[in-house]
Amino acid sequence: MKRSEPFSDRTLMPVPGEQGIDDLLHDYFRAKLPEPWPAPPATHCKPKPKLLLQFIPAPRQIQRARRYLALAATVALFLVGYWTLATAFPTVLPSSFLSPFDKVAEVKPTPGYEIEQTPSGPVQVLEQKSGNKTIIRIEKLP
Amino acid sequence: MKPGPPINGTARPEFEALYAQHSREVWALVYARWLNADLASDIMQEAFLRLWRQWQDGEAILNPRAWLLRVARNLAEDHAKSSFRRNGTQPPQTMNGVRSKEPLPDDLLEREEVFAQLRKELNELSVSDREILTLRYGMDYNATDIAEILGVNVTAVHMRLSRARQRLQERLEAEGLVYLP
Repeated sequence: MKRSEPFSDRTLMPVPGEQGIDDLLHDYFRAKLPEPWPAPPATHCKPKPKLLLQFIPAPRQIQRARRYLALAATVALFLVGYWTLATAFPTVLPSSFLSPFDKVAEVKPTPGYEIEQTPSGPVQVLEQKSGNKTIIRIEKLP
Repeated sequence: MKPGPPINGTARPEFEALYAQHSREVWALVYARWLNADLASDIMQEAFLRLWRQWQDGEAILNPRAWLLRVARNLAEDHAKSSFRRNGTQPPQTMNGVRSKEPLPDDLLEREEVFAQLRKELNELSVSDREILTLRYGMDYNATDIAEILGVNVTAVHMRLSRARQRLQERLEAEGLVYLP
């Protein structure tokens, strides 16, 4: 079905015909084809930017391990940072921040007395030779 | 998936071979869309350049012919939306005084008149009619080749070609224009 008729001069005639339209179309498209045929476009290899460190994609397992390591390192860094700061700046709360129990701990018992916990609060107790107990209740002064 | 050839000494010959093999049909498809030979050449070259860039990027192109035809078609369609086509770079009156460097001989002029009329009638046909006529008469492709390019079966090619031809003939007859040997 391939046709390779040479291009020939035709004349315009007002008579319809099967062959006429074939030839007309043939000549038309042949005439429209660029002559000479354009050369292939110039192609240039774009130089790739030089990298100091070439990034080579690692296998998936290694990539996953790297992610876990990065997470672990982040957590470790956080803990070390916290510990360092906590050591450098120890927490000293003012006495008003202490609970009653903590404040009792600050009270030094009177010599010879011992501190005991009772349901109503801490007390100082002195046990006498007779077996009686002298109890001093510790109360917070306003 | 097979990647394109490495961009080194072997890629350019392969590229040129593809160009020699498929550039005409790429051109034909774009020409059928716009009936503009220069535009078809530009788009054809752009399609091949894009193929080269794909190779550069290491992208795989399984069927370069189909890829080129698809890209060329898309580019041709994009041209319809481009501001260049809508507005042009020069107003029409600027181009009125521009003359060809070489005067046309009379016979050439007469032929050009016929072709201009034919072009006008082709432009009235659908794009699919123009595609099939361009491939058949411009590329001398047989029905099997055309079927492969257009993605239809051979029977459909025969039918569509016959209908396209018939429609064109009717238009030309209505204009009193038929070209006989």
